[in-house]
Amino acid sequence: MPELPALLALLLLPVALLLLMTRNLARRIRHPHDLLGLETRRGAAALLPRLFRLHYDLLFDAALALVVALALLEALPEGGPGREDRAPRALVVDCSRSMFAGVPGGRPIDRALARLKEDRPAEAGSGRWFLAFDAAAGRTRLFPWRKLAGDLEGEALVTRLEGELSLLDLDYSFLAELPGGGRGALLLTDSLRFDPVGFAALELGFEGPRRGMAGAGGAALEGQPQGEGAPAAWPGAAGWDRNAGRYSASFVEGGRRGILTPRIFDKASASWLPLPATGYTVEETAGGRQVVLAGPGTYLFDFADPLGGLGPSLALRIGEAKRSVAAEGPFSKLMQRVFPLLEEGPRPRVVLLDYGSGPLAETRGADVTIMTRLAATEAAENLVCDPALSGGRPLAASPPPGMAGLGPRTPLLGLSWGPAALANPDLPLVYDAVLLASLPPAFATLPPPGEKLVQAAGAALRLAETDKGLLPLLPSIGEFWEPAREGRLVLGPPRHRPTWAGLAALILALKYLVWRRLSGKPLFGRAEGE
Amino acid sequence: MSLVHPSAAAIVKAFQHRSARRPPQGGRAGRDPMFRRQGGAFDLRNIREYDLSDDPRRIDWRLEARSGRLYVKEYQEDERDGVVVLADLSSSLESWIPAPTEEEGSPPFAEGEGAASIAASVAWILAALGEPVLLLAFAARPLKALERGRGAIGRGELDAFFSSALGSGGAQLMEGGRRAATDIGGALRAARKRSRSKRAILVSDFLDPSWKPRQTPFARPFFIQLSSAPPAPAASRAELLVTDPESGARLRLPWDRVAEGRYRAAQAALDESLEEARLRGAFHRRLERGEDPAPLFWDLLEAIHA
Repeated sequence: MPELPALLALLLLPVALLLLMTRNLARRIRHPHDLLGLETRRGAAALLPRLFRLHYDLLFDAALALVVALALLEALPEGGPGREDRAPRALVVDCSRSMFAGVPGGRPIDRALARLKEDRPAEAGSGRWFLAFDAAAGRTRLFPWRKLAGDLEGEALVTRLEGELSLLDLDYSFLAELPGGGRGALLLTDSLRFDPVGFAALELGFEGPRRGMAGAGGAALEGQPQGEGAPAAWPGAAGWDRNAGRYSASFVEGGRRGILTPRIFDKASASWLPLPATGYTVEETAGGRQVVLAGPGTYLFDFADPLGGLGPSLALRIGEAKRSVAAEGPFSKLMQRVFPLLEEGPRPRVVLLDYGSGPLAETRGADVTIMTRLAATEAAENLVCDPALSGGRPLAASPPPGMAGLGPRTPLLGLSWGPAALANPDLPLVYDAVLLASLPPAFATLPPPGEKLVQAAGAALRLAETDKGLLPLLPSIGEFWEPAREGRLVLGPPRHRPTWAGLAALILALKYLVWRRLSGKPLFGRAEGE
Repeated sequence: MSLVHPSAAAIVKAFQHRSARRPPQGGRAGRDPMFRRQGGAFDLRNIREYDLSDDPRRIDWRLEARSGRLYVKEYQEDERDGVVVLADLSSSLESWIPAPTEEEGSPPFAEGEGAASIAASVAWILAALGEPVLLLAFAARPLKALERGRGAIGRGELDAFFSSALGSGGAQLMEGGRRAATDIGGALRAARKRSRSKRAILVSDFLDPSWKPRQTPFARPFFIQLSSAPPAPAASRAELLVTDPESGARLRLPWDRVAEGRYRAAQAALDESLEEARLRGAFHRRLERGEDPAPLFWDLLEAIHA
């Protein structure tokens, strides 16, 4: 802490002035020393207690100044007011996917690097960081400049970053890991989705469609005419299209129209293989394009920028249309036959059970287990949450008893039907909704906690290795369309602040107690006449 | 103004008119028959017939039993031994002053004259009452002496004596570049050499750690302790820079409860030693700074003539 002496000297100045004042303002009297008793003793034994009694308040004040100085050093931002010229504040370059959008030379990352070079050419490497996604740790982290950049600059550096970093969504709260809690840091980014508090952000301009997207699938884009900005795409739907009876992936698109190239993931070689031209068809929709696929699998859809920039690369998992099911109990077997895509088979993904039929071993690893209870009267125990509370979704109010033995991480839904419900012809829609909701997701924007991330065709694209197969990871939609700003990110005060406050309070309490002791007052309670 | 206290003349006048038949209440003469006689000594001087002017208590009833006539015995007067008055003029008493007199508005005494005024008043009163007086001023050593067999001492004479002893102005009593300390024992020994008196009146603050009250070569010592209260506590930050008038040493100390407690403890220890002497027959009175000395003078005279 190189500034501690200066700060401490500043805080000790009034203490020193007080010392000088008290020494000069001391009462001067002529009085025999004989009756001053032990005060006339010589040596350190008498001098030290006398010095303490003389200057105990100044000693406590000096200790308090030290505590305040240390607390201020922690609390003040590195780049706080008046400190810019002396201590360079931390400079952080945002390495999210949107920073690399656009044509080379016009990308936000290019502007950030140029700005760094202009502002602090002499400080290369000092106090500079990259905020990027660490695929090894599965989370956002700060990388020291030297570690990633080395001696590279300009386009070479951008190429290295694109090649080594996973261009995913970032968690900006990790700025708090900067020295000093990140307060006062300057973040070089393209566009923020929040208001920075406690640090500064320099927004260098978003390369892509402007904000204003409503809905998905149907995809209505507002605010920017089609054909401007970097290509942007976002999956609207992916999987088995029940209406058309085919596998498809539809996309919402914006900006320049990218050159669409679908590829399929080959698990054996862990690489993306191009699809033959006959293996897919592309159809235009209102908001973008829809790719009709031959079958399930993990696909990669590249929307290459015709101007040579970084286009969206969206990996999607297209699940099987049919799902293996295991049913137990007459009502559940009946309900199974309502859905033709549910077929009995080994390792069922869906388990249907009647209440009281006992647990099934096949529930292990299933996507969902639905337990149905048929009640004789309407007053029977209701195992479903009030739809008004669950937003219309059928949710179990509590796990039914006797369900021990269910597989781990298997969602369980208990449904209880009375005579009126059984008479409702829309009853199967409840099961349909549950079955659709239990389909494995086509992608994720956040890596599942604890799951290993595997690299697939370059560092930029990652797949999470889950127990239900590989799950593609995509940046959030805010990395393609400029995000709306809402909320704020506060880099809080240092964690040790309460400790300093407690120490300061302890010093003040000690000073008060010593004052009471030396002035003849009882340590606690009121003295006579007080 | 004179060093002799303004109340001294009135005290002398009152004491001269004191009736021998009515010894002061509380005095030893009112209680002990051994003292109901003329003269304080035990040497018989004369036996004569009772006269109506005599105190009937002085009648020797043994002689009356044998002779059938009234006789009184006359003893040698012990007043001729006189009284030694020792005045401590050390620098530790430089700021001690008695109560202000009627001449308020201007400081009644110069530096050190407060203590001298007590000794001067005592000497003047005793001399006015006909006591032979040896006045000895001392500090670290005997400074000056004034001996008067019988008869009054003039106020101007006393003023000149103390003025000479104190030196002119106040830059006096310097010894080896240092202010004068107190040597009570040396002063008492010097007085003993010069006088056969059994009575010695010591006016001092008794701030002499090398001397103990029981180390007195006089049979009837009278101790007048000029005492100063501890420094007044300050309202705010109580820090003192105390200069010792005798040594010139400076001491910076906090005037807090600890310091005040230690001061009072040291003062109590000094008072205790003087009280021990009082229990052995010595006279001891403490006169605070700013206190009226007139009652002390009267008590002293009663003790001397008891």
